[in-house]
Amino acid sequence: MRRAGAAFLCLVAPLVAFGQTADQHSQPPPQFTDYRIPIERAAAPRDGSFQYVDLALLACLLVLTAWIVLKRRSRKELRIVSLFALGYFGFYRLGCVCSIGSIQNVAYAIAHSDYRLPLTVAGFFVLPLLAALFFGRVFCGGVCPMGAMQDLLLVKPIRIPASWRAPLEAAPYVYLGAAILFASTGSAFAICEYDPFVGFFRMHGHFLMILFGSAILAVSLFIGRPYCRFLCPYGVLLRWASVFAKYSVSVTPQECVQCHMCADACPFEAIQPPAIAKQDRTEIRRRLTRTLAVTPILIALFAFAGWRMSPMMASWDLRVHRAHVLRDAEMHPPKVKTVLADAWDRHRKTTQDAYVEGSAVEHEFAIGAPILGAWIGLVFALKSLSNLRRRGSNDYEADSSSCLSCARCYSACPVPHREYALPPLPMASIEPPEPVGGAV
Amino acid sequence: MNADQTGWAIAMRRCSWVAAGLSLVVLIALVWNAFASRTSDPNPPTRVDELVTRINLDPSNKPLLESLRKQDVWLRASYFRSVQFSQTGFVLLLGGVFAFLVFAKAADRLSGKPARPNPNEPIRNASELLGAQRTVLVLGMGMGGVLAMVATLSRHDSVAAYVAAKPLPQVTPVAPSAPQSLPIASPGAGTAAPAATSAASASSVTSAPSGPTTLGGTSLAPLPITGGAAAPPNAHNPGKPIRVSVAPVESSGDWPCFRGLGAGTVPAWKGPADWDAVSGKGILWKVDLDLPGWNSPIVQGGKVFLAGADDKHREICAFDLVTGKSLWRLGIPVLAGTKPVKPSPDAGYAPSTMATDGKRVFAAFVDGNVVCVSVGGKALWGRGFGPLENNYGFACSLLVTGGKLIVQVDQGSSPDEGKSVLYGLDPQTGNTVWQTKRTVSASWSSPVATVLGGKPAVVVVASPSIAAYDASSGSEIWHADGLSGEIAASSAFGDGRFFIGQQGSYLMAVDATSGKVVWKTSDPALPDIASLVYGKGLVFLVTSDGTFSAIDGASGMIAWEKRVDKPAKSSPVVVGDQVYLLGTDGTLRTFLASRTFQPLAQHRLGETAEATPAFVGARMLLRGEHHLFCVGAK
Repeated sequence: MRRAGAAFLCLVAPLVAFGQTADQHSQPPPQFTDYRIPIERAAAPRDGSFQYVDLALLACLLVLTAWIVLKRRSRKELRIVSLFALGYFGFYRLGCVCSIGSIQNVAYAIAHSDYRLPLTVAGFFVLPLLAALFFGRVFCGGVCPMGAMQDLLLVKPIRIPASWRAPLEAAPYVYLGAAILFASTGSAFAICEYDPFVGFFRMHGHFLMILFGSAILAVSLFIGRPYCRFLCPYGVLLRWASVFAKYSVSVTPQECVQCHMCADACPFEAIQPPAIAKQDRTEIRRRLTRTLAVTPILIALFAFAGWRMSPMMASWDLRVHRAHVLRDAEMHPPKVKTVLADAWDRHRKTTQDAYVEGSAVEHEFAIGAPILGAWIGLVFALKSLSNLRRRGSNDYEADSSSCLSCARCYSACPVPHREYALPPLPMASIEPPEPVGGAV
Repeated sequence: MNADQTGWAIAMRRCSWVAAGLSLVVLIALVWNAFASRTSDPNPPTRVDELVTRINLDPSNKPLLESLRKQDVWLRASYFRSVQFSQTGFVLLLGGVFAFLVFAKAADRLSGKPARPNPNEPIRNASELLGAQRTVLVLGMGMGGVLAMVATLSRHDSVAAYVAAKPLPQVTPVAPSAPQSLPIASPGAGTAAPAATSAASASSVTSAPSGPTTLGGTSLAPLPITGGAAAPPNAHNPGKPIRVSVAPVESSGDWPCFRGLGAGTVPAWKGPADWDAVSGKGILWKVDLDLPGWNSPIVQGGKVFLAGADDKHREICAFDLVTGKSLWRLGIPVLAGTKPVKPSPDAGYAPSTMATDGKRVFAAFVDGNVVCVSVGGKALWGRGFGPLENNYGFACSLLVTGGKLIVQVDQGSSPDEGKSVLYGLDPQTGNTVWQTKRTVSASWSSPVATVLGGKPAVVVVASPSIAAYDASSGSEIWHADGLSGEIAASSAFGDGRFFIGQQGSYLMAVDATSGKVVWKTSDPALPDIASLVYGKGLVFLVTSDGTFSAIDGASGMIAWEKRVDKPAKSSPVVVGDQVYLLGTDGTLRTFLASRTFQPLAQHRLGETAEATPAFVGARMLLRGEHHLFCVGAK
């Protein structure tokens, strides 16, 4: 009941509030006074030197977060940094520029040699990845304003079964592939267009965007960082980079007593339990063989679907959409010229120009869509295979690729409390259980 | 967990419920307010509409006026109460949600059950992972299969097929070369030479256009004049005037610019009450026009002048007002260095109405070229004001007042860009006498001549202001802000006020001496192309979709608003106590200029028309898509 109430409040309250604000703006001004309508003027652009401030701040926060997570091991200090990042990069800088969206600029720059990647965007793309190579996903832990917003709302984390979690974890890879395809073709910067949080940072946004954001925030009450884990395309890159992290989160610097409390404390299910001895190796091999055999079929199926659907995907591009609309108007002339046709005429171009332009985009999609399809097939296959991976450790350990460096597991671990006579944790027993597993 | 913690946990939980309850109450109140505010919308509801109509019928009824005032005050007070309520509610709601989260989180932390080691967790995890492996694989295969099947069965049109179906067009850019079929020479060759601008403030304008180019009579050869036998009025006989009858020209005043010098008002017209261009009834003459153009005819000294242009040719024509005989046609070259412009069909290549100072006629084209030709048909000078940062090209009509040729060059997407300039040119040479930089964005409105403080002045409109300038010096006399959008309509003048309105913006009345806004309203259907006109205490407006309105000039209240069924882009003209409105369907409708809607008559032109009629003596000149008509009494 309480969960439903919370969800209702968090989902509906912003919608009503935004609806009220929109209503006010639609009202005409008073007529019988000497009130003068102010002229709408665009805000002056931000001073160029501030981009260096943003970059310097990003670098400092990354180092500070790494220091707090890996050396200080303090959840409280990390929360302060996280709140600062939410305030600065979120509400002050209005969520732009952000590392997540920078993927699109990089993809577009690679595909278009005439586009010069802005320094800030390049920095926001590279710095968190560099940090991940050394310290794990410290960007997610303390610097990302979107992560901070979700973390702030987490009230009662619930555990998602692995069989649900695994398919959901494939979604960011699909989103990443699609975002790169649409950005590199110049069709759309989908990550920015469907950013669920930017509407909150700016206190203004399209209704569907606010609805999507409200839904994510409502889910955030019970599921730890749903966007970061099941949608964020930049998280995929960070996941890859953090696999090679030289210094990453270690739940306990001493001997693990295998109490499982760190895994319970982690709302992101990023703590891996120790390996077990009683595992059916034959079953594993059988599944491995089957998955490997199915992998080419998966890739082919999705690639075929992508190839066939490429004209449909291309029609989401405005240039292709325009060509279809103009063609439709040409074949069935309307009584009144459509707005789009009128605008096209004003650009002093012919219908054929629109067709040629649209056709060029379609051609790009004809190449990109099958590749995207193959990528999705590969993701499903690898995601399936990753669940057959052998665990080599006999202790509870943070999975460096999934761990969001939130530092919750530190305070949950009873070992430092025992070693350093810290206040006792509220637990029934800290005696280690009988060993139940070993190397597989 | 000790007793203290349990107590705190219970307290926190109860606090969270209180916060949730408060938020819920505020939420319900906000929803209620959102619905309730609909009923107090300040857009005039039926009750106010009724009152306005009744007051218009009986303006001296003070109790009724008081009733309307009270109703308006009540509506606005309700509106502002509603706004205040929603703002306060918004803050309370956010506070409530925040408090709920804080208390709920604290309660969870305090009441957390002691954790217990779970030795079976690794086994459970391994088992779950195997299940997840199967789920992902099955889901992937399922999704892939369904997608492939849907993709196979579905069909989507490909743009490439359109290209293949229709051969690629040849590239035919509009080159700034001389018209091929007209016997004229390029202005860049031989005698053409640029002259310097004379304005002292030229340096303050970042992109000042080049000086005038002397065209010279030798470089522009007059076209052969067509004419000959009379033909039936409705016969299509290109190039030949159709003389229906000959009547003497009444010297009751010329029509030297767009909407004449009366800003679209004529004291009287003694033309026939019944005429019809399709049957030829009441038509003195009718001539074919070779080149298209939405500009309106001007009349000076018994001659009618028009401009026409397409992507290859442009010309100025002169006709005899009495007979319709073509006096001369002069091909106009595109000035050297002009950037080609492909305008929208709504604007065409010659949207600007010409102007005359009695000795010379001036024409402007969509690319910003302004040319001067003597009334006898001798080319004198030309000057380019492009390339313009202007969506539809140059469409402001020209005006001669105070001995200056006024050229309104408004451009740029924002007023702050400072690209707009009002020019006062020497009509004889084309040199700049003065130029005034204006903080306005691009516009397609036309200047209106007036006299302010005993001096000739010009009133121009663009987003965001209407402004008056001294025609002799170009100095600003006043300006009034409050407009926005793409301004195409020109202002109306009457009873010491200028009136201007634009769709998506406001209709406002500005005091002609002080420039102060007298009233402002967004209630009427505002024009988007046609200019406003004032007569009999009313401002008449027409929208492109054919909504025709009369607004009280004193208060800004709507007297009436009617749909006239057909679209109208031509500007209405007040003739005596009547309003003439030419629709795009070629029907000229007349209405009584009164506070009640009273249609009087309809006359057929027989072809599409967007130009504004010109009135000279007992003659009315109407430009259709293909013909120029002269209506008058035989």
